[in-house]
Amino acid sequence: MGDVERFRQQEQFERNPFWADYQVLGPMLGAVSMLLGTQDIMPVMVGSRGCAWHTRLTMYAWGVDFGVRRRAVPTLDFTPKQIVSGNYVVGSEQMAALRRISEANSIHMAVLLPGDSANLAGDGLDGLSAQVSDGLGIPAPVLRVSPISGSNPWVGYDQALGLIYDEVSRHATAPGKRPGVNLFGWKWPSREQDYDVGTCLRLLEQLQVPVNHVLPGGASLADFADSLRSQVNLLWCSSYIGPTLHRLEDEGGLKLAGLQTPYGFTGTLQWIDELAAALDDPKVAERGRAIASQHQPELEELRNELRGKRVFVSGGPGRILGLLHAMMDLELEVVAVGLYWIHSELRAQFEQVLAQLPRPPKKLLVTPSLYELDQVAEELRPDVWLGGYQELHPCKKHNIPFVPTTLYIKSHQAFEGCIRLGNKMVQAINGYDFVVNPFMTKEMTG
Amino acid sequence: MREVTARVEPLLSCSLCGAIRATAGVKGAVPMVHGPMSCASGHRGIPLQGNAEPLVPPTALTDIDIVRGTSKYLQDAVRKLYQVRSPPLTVVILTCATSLISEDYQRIVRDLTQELHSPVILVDGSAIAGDEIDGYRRFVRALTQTVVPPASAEDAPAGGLTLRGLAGTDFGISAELPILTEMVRDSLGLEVRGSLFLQFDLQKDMPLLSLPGIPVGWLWTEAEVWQPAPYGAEGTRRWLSGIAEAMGSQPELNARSGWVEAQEALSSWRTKLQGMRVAIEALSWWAVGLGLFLQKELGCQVLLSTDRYGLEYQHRYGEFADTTLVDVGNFELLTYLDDFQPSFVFGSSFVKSGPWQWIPFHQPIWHETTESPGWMGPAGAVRLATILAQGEALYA
Repeated sequence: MGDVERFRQQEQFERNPFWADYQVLGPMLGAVSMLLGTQDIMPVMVGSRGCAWHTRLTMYAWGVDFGVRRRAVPTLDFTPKQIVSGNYVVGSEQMAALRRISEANSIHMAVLLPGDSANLAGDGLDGLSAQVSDGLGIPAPVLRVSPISGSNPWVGYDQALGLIYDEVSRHATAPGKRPGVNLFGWKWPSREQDYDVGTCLRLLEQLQVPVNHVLPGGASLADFADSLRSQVNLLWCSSYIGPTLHRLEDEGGLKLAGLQTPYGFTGTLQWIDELAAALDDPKVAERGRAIASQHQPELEELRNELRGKRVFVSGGPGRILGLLHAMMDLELEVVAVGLYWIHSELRAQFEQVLAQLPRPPKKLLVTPSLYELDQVAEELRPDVWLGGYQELHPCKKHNIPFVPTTLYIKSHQAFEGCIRLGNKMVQAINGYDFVVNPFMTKEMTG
Repeated sequence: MREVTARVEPLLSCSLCGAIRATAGVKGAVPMVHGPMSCASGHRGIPLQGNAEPLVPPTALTDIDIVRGTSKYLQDAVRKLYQVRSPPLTVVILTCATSLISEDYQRIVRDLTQELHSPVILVDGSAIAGDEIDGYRRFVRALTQTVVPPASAEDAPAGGLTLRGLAGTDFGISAELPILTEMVRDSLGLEVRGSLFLQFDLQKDMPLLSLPGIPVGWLWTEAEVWQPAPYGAEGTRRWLSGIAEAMGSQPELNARSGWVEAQEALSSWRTKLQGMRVAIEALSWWAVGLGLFLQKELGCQVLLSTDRYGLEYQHRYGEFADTTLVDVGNFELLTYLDDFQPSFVFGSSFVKSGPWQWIPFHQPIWHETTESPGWMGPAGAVRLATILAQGEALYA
């Protein structure tokens, strides 16, 4: 925890020995979340019942149903002796159980994820992969992402994606490019209009940009294969940036756009500008400005209510870029920023956006602990707090109006989302409680 | 009875989860997950199930740390935790990675206990160490062997007993515990002085550990004769008789206990409910208790998805379920429910959606629900039978 200048000077961050956090996700959840939202890929844990149990709980319990219910997260159990000796043999009854749910879910690829025990034991799991593949009649590659692979989800997202594209590239795909983009990073099958995906799809329709695929949520292996023909991978959230997407750009000609996430007016316009440049179509940018101007009167009205209000805002490396722009658009004073899960590829971008704030925030926290948030709440007492599930607790304790930005139903993205977020902040400041319980938020009424 | 023991989707998480549940039942205690961040963050919702703070800090180890040695990270973490929170108990929980590399953690926690003048205990929470039940039991062993001072007869409250094996995260426990306590008082004339581990205060409640303890919940199979949870009239009588035998007294199931009225009411509902298919997803103490009530007293057909003790109970004491699934959860369980076609399902939020009426019964429950009224005991049985008979949809 420190100020912006100290952040700029620090290349590496000190390890906090007591990191009290309620909400950080890990690489295995990152990988599972990429796989589980697809139509026909099933993650299979190896020797790790806890990983299967808690990844499915996190996927299903935190927030509304985005369409992943009735999807399996199986685990293959092995004894310590089997793991240490690399003797991964699936019994016939267990294979039959795996086949049963694989067929019920119409699975076309199973991805084996070794738990830490299996990973540390070092066996390549090639034999297990072959056995599962034979038993299910589908490919069953191994993805070496386990809890000890990292402290945040990024390596999981990227490696899961890399594995999928490695698989589809083994098979011939239709030649030639087709106009349009893949909207990248939305991990769920849902296309609900109110959600972020619905908002982005609506905006892209207004921009007259064809969307060929939404990846990975709801996509099949065949969709991933076909997605290679699109012109652009447009990031819904820039947190997914990594070696795989760069590889697709360098080797596959799939241009990358959307490093700036589409929050706020400025942020959304930058997102659109990036897209226009990748498509080499300036008309896309013009249309974006025309759409923004339609919402300008509402933005002005909100500015009049929120101007000068002091705000704490937090998010992951993709979301925070957008939320900071939204705060600038609404003319709030950002007094503190919390950055979760620092992403090396987005650091420069983050510093650029910070530099654009009219005044630097008094406090900048990187993967904050609860007691640090408590300290900020007590010292700074912002007028409103935008944050994730963790920050609900210091806000309740210090009676600070709170707007959840990681658990919500109606989107905060794009121009309409910025207006909605602004309205929510006004409501929170006027006393509305957006939280039913730690698992459920309450959308604004009216 | 159809038995399914080979499964791929577990009902229960690993030992770590059980240890966290047990820790949440000791006031002020904080778990410290010595392992990667995922293991901690994935289970952070567990204390919330018991209305406790979702604080499950990790030492956040990665692969490099595992190779280089992790002792210093553990020491620094526990010291800083103590500096910030001063917990009355710190529970260091190992994960698959740290359990496998087998550093001398016992020595580390012993030295930290001495240094901080505050107990630090160690529990193996790895999947190798077992499931949640194993984790809960390891916690109890670690606590009672390490922290508890020798029992003193003068300190023990007179004339009482404890219920050993409950957790604050057990769904509906705030409704069920008063029912259990009242039944024991009214029918046996005995006071339940405390329940372990629910709201256990290390400063004040140590003498409770020297009282006779009746194994229930997570510890129920530690009894010489296994007594499942008291659902139904006969189920209540059986449970109370078991306690009476253990305590050397006789149960008095008189009019005050509501037992007679319950028997009469239930026999009238039996005609309507005969053959109704009901599924239960829960730990064995609860699942077996409820299943016995539904099958024996109401004539229902029952499917259980429960832990291994649910099957072992039936092997020992007689089968009653139509189907018993051992440790089956999530989608795989739904496929069995689709085959069984129950009218009612008692279970977690995982089994809420389907062509059946759902009754929240087992964690995790993340859907908004009203507080459980309590289903144990004679009055609870009548309430439950009424709902089943009316086919009442409690939650759409």
